[in-house]
Amino acid sequence: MPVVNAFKAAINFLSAPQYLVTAMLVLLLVGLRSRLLWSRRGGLFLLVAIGGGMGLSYLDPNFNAVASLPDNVPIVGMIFLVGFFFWFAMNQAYENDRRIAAGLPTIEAEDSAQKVFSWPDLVYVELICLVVVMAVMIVWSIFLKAPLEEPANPTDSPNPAKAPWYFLGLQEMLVYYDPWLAGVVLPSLIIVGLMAIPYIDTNPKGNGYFTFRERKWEITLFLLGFLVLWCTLIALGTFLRGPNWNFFGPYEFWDVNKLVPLNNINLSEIIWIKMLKRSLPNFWLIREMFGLVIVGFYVAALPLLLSKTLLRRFYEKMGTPRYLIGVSLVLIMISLPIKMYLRWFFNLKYVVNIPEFAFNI
Amino acid sequence: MPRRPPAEPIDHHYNIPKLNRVFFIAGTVLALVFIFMVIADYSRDWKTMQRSFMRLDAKKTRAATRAAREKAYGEERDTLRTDLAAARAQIAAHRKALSRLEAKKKKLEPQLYAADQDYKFTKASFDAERYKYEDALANVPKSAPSAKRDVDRIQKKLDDTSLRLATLKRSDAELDAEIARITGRRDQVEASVEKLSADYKLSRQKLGALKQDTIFQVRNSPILDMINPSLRVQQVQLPEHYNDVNFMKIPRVDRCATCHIAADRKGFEDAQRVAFRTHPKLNLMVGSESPHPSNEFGCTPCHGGRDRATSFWSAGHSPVGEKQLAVWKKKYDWEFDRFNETPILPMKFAQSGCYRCHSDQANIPDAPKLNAGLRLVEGLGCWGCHRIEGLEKQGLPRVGPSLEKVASKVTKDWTTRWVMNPASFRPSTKMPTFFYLENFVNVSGPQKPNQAQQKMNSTGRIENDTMVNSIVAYLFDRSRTASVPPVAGRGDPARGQQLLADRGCMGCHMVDPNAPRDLVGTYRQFGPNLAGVGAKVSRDWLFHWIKDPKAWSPDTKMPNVRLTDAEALDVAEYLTTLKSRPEFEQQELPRTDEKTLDRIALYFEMSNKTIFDAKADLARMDQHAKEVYTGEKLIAHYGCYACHKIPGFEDAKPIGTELTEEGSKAVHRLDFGFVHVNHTREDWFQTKLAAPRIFDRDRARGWEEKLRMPNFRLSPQEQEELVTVVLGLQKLNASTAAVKELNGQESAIERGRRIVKNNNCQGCHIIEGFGGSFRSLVSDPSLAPPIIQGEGAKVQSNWLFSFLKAPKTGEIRPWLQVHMPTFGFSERDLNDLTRYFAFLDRAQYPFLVAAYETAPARWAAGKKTFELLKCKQCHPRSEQELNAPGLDKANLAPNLQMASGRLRHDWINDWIRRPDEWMPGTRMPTNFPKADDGKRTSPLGGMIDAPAFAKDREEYGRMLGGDEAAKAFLSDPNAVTAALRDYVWSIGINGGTAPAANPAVATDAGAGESQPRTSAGKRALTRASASPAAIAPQARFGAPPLTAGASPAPPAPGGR
Repeated sequence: MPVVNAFKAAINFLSAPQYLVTAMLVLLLVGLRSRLLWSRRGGLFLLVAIGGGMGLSYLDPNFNAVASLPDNVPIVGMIFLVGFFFWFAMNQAYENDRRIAAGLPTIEAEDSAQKVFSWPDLVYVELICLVVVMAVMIVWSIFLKAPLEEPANPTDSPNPAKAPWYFLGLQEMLVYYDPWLAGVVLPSLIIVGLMAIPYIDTNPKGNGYFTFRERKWEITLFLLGFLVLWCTLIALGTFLRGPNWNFFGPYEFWDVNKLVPLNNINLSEIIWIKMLKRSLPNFWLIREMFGLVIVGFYVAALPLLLSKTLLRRFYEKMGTPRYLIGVSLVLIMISLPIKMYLRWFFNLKYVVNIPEFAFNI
Repeated sequence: MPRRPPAEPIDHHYNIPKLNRVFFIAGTVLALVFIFMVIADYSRDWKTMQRSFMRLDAKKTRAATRAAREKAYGEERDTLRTDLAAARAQIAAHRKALSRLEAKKKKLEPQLYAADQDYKFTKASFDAERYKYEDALANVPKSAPSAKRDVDRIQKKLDDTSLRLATLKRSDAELDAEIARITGRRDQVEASVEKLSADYKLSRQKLGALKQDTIFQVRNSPILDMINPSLRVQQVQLPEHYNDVNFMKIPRVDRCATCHIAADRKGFEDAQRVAFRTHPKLNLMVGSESPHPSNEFGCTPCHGGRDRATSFWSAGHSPVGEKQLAVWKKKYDWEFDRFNETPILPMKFAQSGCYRCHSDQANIPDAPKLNAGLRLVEGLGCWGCHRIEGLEKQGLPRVGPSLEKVASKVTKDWTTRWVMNPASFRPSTKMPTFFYLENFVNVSGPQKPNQAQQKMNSTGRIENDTMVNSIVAYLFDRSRTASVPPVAGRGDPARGQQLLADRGCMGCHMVDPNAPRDLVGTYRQFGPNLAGVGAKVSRDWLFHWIKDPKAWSPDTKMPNVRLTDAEALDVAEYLTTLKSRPEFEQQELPRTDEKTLDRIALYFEMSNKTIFDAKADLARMDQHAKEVYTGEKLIAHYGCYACHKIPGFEDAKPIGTELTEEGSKAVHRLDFGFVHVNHTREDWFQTKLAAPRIFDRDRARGWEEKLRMPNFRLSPQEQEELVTVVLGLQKLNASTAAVKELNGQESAIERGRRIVKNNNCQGCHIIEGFGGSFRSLVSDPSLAPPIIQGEGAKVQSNWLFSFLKAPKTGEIRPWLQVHMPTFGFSERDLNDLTRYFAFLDRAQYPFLVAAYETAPARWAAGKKTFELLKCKQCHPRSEQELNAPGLDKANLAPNLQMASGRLRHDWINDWIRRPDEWMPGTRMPTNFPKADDGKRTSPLGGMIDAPAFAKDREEYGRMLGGDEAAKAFLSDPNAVTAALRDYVWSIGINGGTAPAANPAVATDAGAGESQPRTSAGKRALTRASASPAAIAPQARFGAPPLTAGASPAPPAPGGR
């Protein structure tokens, strides 16, 4: 069926990381503001669209081969679970926003006007959850064979060599960043940043109830990190990265022989050789000065600059230390998509490349 | 304290009764899931298997029980019962006496018990007191005397109790004897009845154990089965074989017997379910008596698969063919296990497993498919490009002829056509096809090529044309000139054809233009098929070649058949008449495309030069020089020197992938390209062998990147045999203790087998039960080359050495037309061969010959017997007898004049006595038939009293000193054969004249296996001379045992 094949080819093309991440970014920014999407009808539409699309995709042998592997099934589940809770939160948030605008109490306030005992109202429900989850897990573990692979062989690594699913986002980062950044600094900052959130975000609005209007920035930033830079990358790493960590569309056969050129160059080469038509200076400081200046500007000057201009409102509200830490963390988070785009559209390898110290950014 | 109600009524957020219901449902589901989990965990395939095997076993046992029951309750039992009744009646008569005796015995019993206990207690006290005394002696000498007194006292008591016990025991024994006198008969009959039904009882016991009754069900029910189940995993630990998990080696634990319960048990050969069958080669594998018992070798070291697995799928069973795959998928939920690196070898490749340990053997006759594959690997020269360590160690000769003097042997046109397509000249050739293969001329495979592919195909054809011309140009440019002097006169082709058939050439050659290649079924394709050879080489060249092949090419395997000039000319004349197939001559010669040649040459030039230097270099060359240059590089590119000796490539390295551990290679390291076949090793190997360039299909590569393996035109059977070999080239993964280490004799035998294989001895001779293809061409077996069996025990090693070095025509069997050729063996090879034959028959090696002297009487008796048995009818003793008129030379037997120089002394009489055992089917009559008791009898023994024999008997009496001696002699086969031996021995030494009387050996008539007598005075320890004619047993030395222990056993027919 040529139509179906053309459609599959289009999907294959559009699921390349550059389009997928862009699409997710756009969808997130647009979708958050679309009231309709978070209504029940919108939720149903999302469910039918995603569920139906995936269900039909299982008819494709190449998609099926990857998506029905026992170790990939949880990721399929993750897509639906994350989607559901996202929708549910937004649905409630819009409802509350409507109520707040109308001067009515929020759903949660209405619900918890009265105090109840933790037993049975909390613990009983938790117990039921526990029982149901256990039953599901047992059945799952019986029917989906956990793959027990051959003993690890250092001379013969599996292809593709994939991290556990929850680290696939980090592994995807390795494509764009030097291992010490993608593997050490950024993961540490993710943990530190998550711990720092309560100290940076002191906005009491939204405590104990869902709301979007009162926490637009916070929610958008968090979802940018969680949905686009974490969950999307996990799904991408699971379903779209095949042998040799090459990109494969969802309906593409994972051919070991596929070759993709990796012709990336450093910023210093772009500036010195392509733009200035001069050979690279030998001394690293001179060679990399443009990159260093850019990075320095990004991490040091930009927060200050923003405090005077775009984010002045936040600066005044949060105070200097809180503002600086918060903005630095956000900037570092945003540096990931920035680097991704630079790679995709300019083949940029490193902004700063100092092999003398094994230091790359 | 009663709980206080809440201060104010508290509402619930949830509807609690509803939650209760939900909880009830969830709990029920969890309980059900838990039960399901226990069932899923409990119900393992292997348990079902064991239950079903128990039913099968019970069925068989029931049949056995029935048979045993019939025996136990048969007629024999009835007789015994009658006996028993009689015996009982007898006892009844003595009832009074018996009851008195029994009463006495009953009274005695407690006394005996008490006395025994008394003795034991006293003994214990005695030991303790003695220790005290010893302790006192060493540490407290003062108290020693009192301790000694204690010991003495208790010793006396011990003596008393011991005596009392002995007395009581004696009385008891006496009573027993008296009782037995009355009941003995009955006890005996009862024991017989017991014995009669022992089998039946045993069978019934076994049947009881196989019953799946309630107790069985309870023992094996879930959870309770942790205590002492009867269904259990059966495993065998194999400390010598291990799994290599990269950082450590883990001993294998084979659990295959969990399901394959009867693998090592006889009686299940015909089980309907394959899994329950007895191993088909129980004498070789698995059986406890076999060389590979299951407790040492298990299953997976040979078959592959996951050793610890207990389910059909996880063990790694591999289906053969789509049909089995479909059945397995349906029946066993089988699916391809991408993580199992060593699945079980599919049954059709099961023999691969042998090679892991047996790689140092020249033949593996118990694994015919593997053996055939190895013959192909050796014969086709796979090892020339692909290093295979096991074969490399054995030292194989190059497969193809030397091309050093190719220009003087064949024409350029012929060579060009040959390189283009060798099979068109000779379909049976081993030379593979290198050019015009699919990756050059048909890149799209069976699909229709698109425009770009069409262009690639035509470019590929032009490239191949140019390559062929370049290679031939190089070969002819570098060929050493050798003169082929013209031969005067003409031969007779008809006689030549006859000679070709008679002299044994057909042991290695065929003349059949349409014969397909067969390197396994016949040994006659060792040398090239001679059809069409007249179109290849000239009569002059053929003449010189046939006269002395090694003079033209020292490395050739072709031996010298020692033809006279006239004979050689006849054969050459005949071969010249053999013209090639028309399709070979019709092949259009390729044209070198200059641009393509430049392109190819430039590529090679640029491998170590810049493009400017390369181009400048090329500009200096003319087209011929370019062709020669390119040809040299292409020979290196395609590895022609792996099989042929080519000037300039003496030290070149092989070009192919090393195959030493190819069978263990990870599947993902095999390049499947765009070809859709199952991703298994065997499928890749088979696909590759069937079409070596197939994995270039749909690829757009330049000529230099294309696959290079040539096409050997393998039949499906050959492919399968080769895959068997390649799959067998595995990592050992076993300690050296598990591998059979050849001892000195065995490795000498392997060396010999290798030489036999390298020189195709089996083309003419049957050796170790294999070969002798030539023999089928000869109508009369007596005119065929002899079967080599028991050769080591038969001939003297020295003679064998000299014979193999320089065989002479017509010495042993003058009537033979066929010639044993001169192979030009090196001394090392000759020694290896002599040792090989000796060790093969467990004969003495080195073998020294002494002077054997015989008593004149025995010699005379031997001569007389020789004549009586009409031996000379077949064995001529002299030239006159050989050339006597009316003698049918076709029915002759070996020349006995050579016996003393050639044969082992002790072998001769053994042979005469039992030729049928030494060589089943021999024409030598069995003169000494076996009696009923298996012993040999003398043919003269039965005639002693016949009237017609009286005169002869009298004569024997005269010779041996009396009628009694003659009678004893005539009826003793050993004596008769020894006498015959002595006479035969003398034929070679002095033409069969009587020995001088020597009193020292006069009375040795009866000893068939006697030690040779030597004259102690003349001890000169010299080896017999190497020339067979000169081997007179002059060497004398002090009575060496000829064959240590026993005389060598005749070989088993068809044995190795």
